[in-house]
Amino acid sequence: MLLDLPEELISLVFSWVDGRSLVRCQQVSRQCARIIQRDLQLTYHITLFSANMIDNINHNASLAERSACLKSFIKSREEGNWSTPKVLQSPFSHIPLDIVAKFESMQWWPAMTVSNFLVISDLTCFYFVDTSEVALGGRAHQRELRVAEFPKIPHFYIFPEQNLLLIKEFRPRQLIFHPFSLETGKGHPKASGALPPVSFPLNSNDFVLYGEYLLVWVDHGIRHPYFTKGRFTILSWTRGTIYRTVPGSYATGAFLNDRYVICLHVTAEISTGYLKFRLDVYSIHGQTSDPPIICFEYPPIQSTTFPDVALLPPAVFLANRSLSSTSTRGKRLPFIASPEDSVLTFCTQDRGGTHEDLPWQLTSVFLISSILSRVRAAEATWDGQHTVTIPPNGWEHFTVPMWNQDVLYLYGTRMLVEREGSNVLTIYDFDRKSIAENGVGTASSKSFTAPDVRDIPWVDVKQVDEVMPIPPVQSFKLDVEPNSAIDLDLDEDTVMFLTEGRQGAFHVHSLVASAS
Amino acid sequence: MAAPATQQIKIRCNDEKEFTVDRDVLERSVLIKNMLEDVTEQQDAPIPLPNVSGPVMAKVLEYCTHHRGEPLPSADTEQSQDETRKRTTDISEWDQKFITVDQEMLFEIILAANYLDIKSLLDVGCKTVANMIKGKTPEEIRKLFNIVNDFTPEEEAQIKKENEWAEDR
Repeated sequence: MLLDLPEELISLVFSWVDGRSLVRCQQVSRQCARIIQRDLQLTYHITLFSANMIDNINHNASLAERSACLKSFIKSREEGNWSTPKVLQSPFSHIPLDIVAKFESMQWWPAMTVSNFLVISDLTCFYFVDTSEVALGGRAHQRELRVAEFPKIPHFYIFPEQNLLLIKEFRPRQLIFHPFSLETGKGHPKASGALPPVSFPLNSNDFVLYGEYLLVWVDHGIRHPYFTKGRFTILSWTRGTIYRTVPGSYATGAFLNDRYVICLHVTAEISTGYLKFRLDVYSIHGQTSDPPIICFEYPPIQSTTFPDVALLPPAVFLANRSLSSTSTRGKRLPFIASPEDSVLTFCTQDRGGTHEDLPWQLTSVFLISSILSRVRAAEATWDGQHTVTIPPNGWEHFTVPMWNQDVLYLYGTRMLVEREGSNVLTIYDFDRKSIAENGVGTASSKSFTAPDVRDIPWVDVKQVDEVMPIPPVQSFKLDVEPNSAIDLDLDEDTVMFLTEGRQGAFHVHSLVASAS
Repeated sequence: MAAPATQQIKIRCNDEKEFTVDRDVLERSVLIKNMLEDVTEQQDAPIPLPNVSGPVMAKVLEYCTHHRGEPLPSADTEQSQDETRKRTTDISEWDQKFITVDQEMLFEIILAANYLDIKSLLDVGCKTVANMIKGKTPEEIRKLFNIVNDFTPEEEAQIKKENEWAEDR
């Protein structure tokens, strides 16, 4: 019936179709193919699609000129010669393509999504693309922040609610944090100046920000065969003060509130082959020599199977995968809690706080074992002083499929699992209410295959929203090119992805999860 | 502001069905607007619309009545629409409800909107069909619109191969 329409009307219909669908329409029938091939605008659209470009610039070039220009661009690109075509604009054309190309050759893409921002950086300049309106169908606002030049590629972190751009700079045996204002690109108004350098003999991967405080993991480079040891340094980015340094393991520590931090400390008894786990709570403002104010001791682990998690205290630790990839793989060990075997993590907050208002409290505790493919969760209460209470039957198993290399993100009672190598993302929602009412938890996972979102250009984010509402518990498939990075950002209701297409095209996917 | 008494215009569809409509509603159609401008004196005979049937016209008038008073797209806005059209196939809520009809009526509306030259309605119709096409495989599109696959198996394999790039990226 569609083909009963006059051809010019069919062309008109096709003009509203996206590039991928247009290519598919060509394969429907001879007539469809002919209509598309005859229509210069449609073939141009397909060429744009093949070049990962979006022609959204207002100019006076004719279609034929644009088409010729585009073809020469594609040709030069295939020859490895990067240049931006004059009459075309990619969504990120303000970022010089040669920079993108340079970073591509370094196998490192300086792009990430943080909150609503898509951030792309070259060595000295950060390009912020505010995508908040894109999700609503509007345009992206681009902002450029020129910050101090750094001799080496700095790492950067963004905390929009605090207007904070935190740049982590590595110097020989030193680590320096620079707080910048997101709005101005200059020093943060609340910061008194540069932070004193944190010394780190080897490496430093992680830090946690909580209001004005930073908990920085400083790796001593002590590679016990079965765990990593190091220190946490607590400092304030507003006051430029280092408070104290406390021992820890596996880069696992967190703020309980604005007075206490909790850190995992692992020791090994070589004679017995036991690993001992301890959770230490330290006062932020104490002296470095002060002992922890509370310790939760773990019983020794004796068998070669993972202990039932019920044996463990309200437990909280995270095997940091970047630290775990070296020594234990493939060896038979007397110790069983090797990082590869277990992915243990915890969560002490509901939703993030701001500098002025710090509502985080220990509310949810998760212990996740990848050996047993199950999660045990409990709702804990913390009196802010010396007691963490877990209701006696507060623990409940959730059995969820889990593999060693999966990457976990915990957000309140929502867990996002990035399946290593399979391009599958799964979101689990642990149902607190059912635990409270029945003492039985649910985290059932509904599986479905979402429409292919690989090449939805980022300006079409709204369409993704429309076709893929995510109920609280769902898994969906995200096809990405091998080796392309995915950056994730998830809060209570929203998941945002940044995927990289070819040749400097970035795709932002925003999937709005419906609140239960 | 006292509006002059609204002029009523009669139209007659190809199935003899007649409508009497306010002039400003009918003028959403550029075709009828131009016709009315050409006619200087008052005319009682209904305007014949040989390409539109009564039920379709009723639907079109429903659209025109809802959107009466909105500015007609000028040459300028048309161009800027061209700039943005690739980006949005959104349809307003009322239009979406309005256009929720069976396929036959949908294509009739598109034809009528094209004939009567009502650009916004034509866009709504085309966007709706485009949204039906989006994300579907060639086979699904054939099924949706009852299109016969007239490629030979060899041709189909060939064309599939040629277009593989779009699928695996």
